[in-house]
Amino acid sequence: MIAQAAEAGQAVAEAPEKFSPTAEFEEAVKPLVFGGHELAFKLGPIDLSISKAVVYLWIAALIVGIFCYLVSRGARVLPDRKQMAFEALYEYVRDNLVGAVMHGQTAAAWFPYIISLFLFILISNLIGLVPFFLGLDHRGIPTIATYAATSNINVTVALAAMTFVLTHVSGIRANGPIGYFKGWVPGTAPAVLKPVLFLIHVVSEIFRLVSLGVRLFANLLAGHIMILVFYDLIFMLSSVAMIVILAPVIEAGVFAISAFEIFVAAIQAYIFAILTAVYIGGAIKQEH
Amino acid sequence: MINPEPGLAIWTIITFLILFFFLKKFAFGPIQNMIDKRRDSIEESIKAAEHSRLEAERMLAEYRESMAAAKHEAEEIIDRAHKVGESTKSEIVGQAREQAQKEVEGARDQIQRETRKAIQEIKDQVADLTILAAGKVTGKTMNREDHLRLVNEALSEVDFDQLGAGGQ
Repeated sequence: MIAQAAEAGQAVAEAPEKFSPTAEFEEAVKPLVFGGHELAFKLGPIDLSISKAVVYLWIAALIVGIFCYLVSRGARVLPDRKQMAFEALYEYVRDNLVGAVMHGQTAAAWFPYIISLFLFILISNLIGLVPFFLGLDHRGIPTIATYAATSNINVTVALAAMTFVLTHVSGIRANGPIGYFKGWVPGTAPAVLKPVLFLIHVVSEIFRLVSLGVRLFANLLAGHIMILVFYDLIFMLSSVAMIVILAPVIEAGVFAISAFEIFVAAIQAYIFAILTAVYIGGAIKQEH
Repeated sequence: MINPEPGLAIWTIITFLILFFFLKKFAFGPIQNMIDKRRDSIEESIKAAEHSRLEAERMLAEYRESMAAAKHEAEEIIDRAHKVGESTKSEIVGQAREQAQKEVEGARDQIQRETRKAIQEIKDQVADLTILAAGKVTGKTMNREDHLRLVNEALSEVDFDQLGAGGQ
């Protein structure tokens, strides 16, 4: 469908500029230009340039940080509506998300990490649905774009990698290195099969990391591409009559997908957070 | 979009870790404290309310008890008053009856006395008249003592008690 839309976009010769929904996402990792300077930094072989994706990460972090700070600073024993709403979310994550898979001290220790992850991913996903004014382009036309940092696989895999590392570190800390890796193989398995089972478990652990990262990235990317494809259709409208007839249909489609994307944003943040809790909880309290 | 960008991954981790430590230190701590504080205060309120309820129940029981005692006492007082009233009444009635009896007896005595006196007077007058009449008829005078003796003898045959009885 994406390919079709892209082809269709190319087919419209009158279109002032070739529009490609995926181009937005490739642009996002290029260094931004600020005041005539390209914000490109390198640390050895690693490119630490400030790209649009990085700015979106910062925006998400700032929103979460400032909001939580304001709520906590204004926190009263008798809460106002804002505090009640935040506490409802806080207690939901504590009791239903973390509390469902961890208990007691473990839950208390891991709760801040998991709720931070949840809020960061949730807000990253949601701000992806807000059109941001990015400035004027070289022709002086305002550029408004939607982008989600979590629609970049590097972001989601980095977050998944943190979960991956913390899972094994906490597993080793709780059970000792030997006990932890021993727990990867069922104790009742025949000795001959044990190396094979261990290998299978190693592969499954790696795929957990990949699936965790790719699930979030793919869902967010797909949602954004859907929205952009619908907008792309506008470029195919060559006459006023078509615009009058089809623009409401396109707009309705964008509205429907955007509404669905809000749901996806929340559910993906939830899935990422609860899987993190499940993996870490499982590593700490191994089932033999 | 799916090209490896280690720089972006590093930025992600840095950004997230800064956010995490910030939230842990400045946001979740105070919020958790507030929630704990609220839970404590609710717990205290519930305890206080429970205490008040027990106190109220105890007071109500005490009040009911004293009400019952007061009612019982009031009944006793009324009962006693009734009894006292009864006895006073019968005493007064008895006294009144006695008094009336005495009055009646007094009156009867007086009547009897008066009657006797009247009879004596009648006897005397009859005697005198008889003496006078006999003197006039016979033309001779008996001495008074003889006359009186004769008259009284005659009168003693007359039953004056019938007169008294008729007067009653």
